[in-house]
Amino acid sequence: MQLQYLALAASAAAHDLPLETYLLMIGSWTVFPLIMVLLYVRGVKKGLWEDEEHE
Amino acid sequence: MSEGVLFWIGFSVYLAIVLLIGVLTHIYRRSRTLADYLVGGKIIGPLTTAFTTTASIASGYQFVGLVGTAFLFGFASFWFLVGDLIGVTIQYAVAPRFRKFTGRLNSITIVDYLADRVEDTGHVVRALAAIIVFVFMSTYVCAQFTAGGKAFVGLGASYDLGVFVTWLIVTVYTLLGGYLAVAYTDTLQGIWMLIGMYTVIPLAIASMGGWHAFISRLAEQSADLLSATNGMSLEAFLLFMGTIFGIGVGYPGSPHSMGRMIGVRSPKAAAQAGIIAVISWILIDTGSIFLGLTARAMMPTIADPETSYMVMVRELVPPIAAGLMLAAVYAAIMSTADSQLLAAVGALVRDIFQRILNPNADEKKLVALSRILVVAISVAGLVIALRFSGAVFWFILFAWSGVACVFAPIVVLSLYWKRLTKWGVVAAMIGGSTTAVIWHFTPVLKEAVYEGFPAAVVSFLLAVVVSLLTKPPEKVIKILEGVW
Repeated sequence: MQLQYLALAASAAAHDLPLETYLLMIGSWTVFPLIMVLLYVRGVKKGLWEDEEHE
Repeated sequence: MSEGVLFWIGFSVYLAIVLLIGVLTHIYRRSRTLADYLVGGKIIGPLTTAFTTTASIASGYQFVGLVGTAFLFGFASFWFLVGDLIGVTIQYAVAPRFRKFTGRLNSITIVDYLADRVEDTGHVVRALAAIIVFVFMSTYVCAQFTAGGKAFVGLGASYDLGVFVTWLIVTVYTLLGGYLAVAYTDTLQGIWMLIGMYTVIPLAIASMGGWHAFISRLAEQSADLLSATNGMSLEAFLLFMGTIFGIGVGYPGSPHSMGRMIGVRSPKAAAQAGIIAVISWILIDTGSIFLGLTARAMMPTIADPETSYMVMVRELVPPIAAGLMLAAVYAAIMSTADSQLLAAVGALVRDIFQRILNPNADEKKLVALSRILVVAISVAGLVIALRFSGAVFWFILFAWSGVACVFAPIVVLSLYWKRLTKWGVVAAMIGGSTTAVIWHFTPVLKEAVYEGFPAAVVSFLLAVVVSLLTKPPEKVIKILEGVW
């Protein structure tokens, strides 16, 4: 529900807010989750945690 | 039934649910060892880890301070979200490695890890770090009780009653269930905070006639409210960013938050928790900021912008639901207090008692001692919050800049630089904390940038320079062979 709300707010904001404000909001909502997903994928691909489950 | 009674019924229902979780955890997941009590036996999954870590840092500030900031500064407050996300991203980027190292060294507190990582045979690092953690975490618990009292005043009840109720509930479920109860209640409290925020925001926007009307109202007051820089000059903006980064840099060194990375069930689960944690921070900070923005659009002349959430809930939501919604403020306070209480207990029981005074202590006795100290520290916090709350202010001031920002470079170096030594850690702790205090009390420096940033820089430099001048921890480097 919250994610849907964020998406709605983002599309509505695009029509009313200055471009840099819009970029700040959308940038903060997307860049950091993307970094975390990429770190996770990198860890899985490199097998960084294969022997470490339930230490 | 009167509106007031319905409101308090709603509020009490939430508190009863939190207490019930503590009791059920005690019945079904009883702690048998100190590791069970302090880090849940290291079996916590990614979802719970993410929410308990987020809730442990997201205190009453989310519903009070950040809402008030957004009310005053408008959309530029999203830079605070960026600051938090920088911190959370660094914290979770190192979390899987931190979980690997703490697993290999059998650490159950952040102090425990640091001391073992640098081969602290004389207990210099352990004693110094444990005292710092205990002093700052226990006084911070007291500050959360004070915040609970103030929240009750905002709800129309007495300060003393608020302090007492906060103390009672946090103490009972932490006492009974230890870390597991704290983690489970934090998860509920984090979700509750989101429900509270995202119920009020759409109602507020709808009451103004929709999104466009909401933005128009803000624009009519000041175009700066819609700007990403709030009309700041470039110089002011850069200093502001220094402060934002200074706050974020402390995340990997926060004792009550990094303790969660020890309790997570595996390094892979820590990495998964990172994705969830970043999303939960985005939702929580965005919610706080939109609460402040909608309050500014709805009631620009409100006497105290920091009470915006409380006022909007009372105006927009029926009484019984308002009780449940305002319990979200309380959830934020309790979920921080419980984590700090457990961090303070861990510093005393694990780091001082078990590792220095009585290494052969029986596990059952250690759990019992932990429970006694939960009560003792919380009772002391209760008394201080009721009678001497001003006395803890000094410590709280430096709980982030003097502890988290100082510990953060040490934790990161310990994970990526074999050469870190115990004297490097000692120098970093003393030098970094001193820098934070001096910086804070020098007006020209304080006005320039938040003291956490220079404290972190000094901590980092001293850790590196002193480590290079002293003997590296050869035995530990061998123990950690294969996980570097």
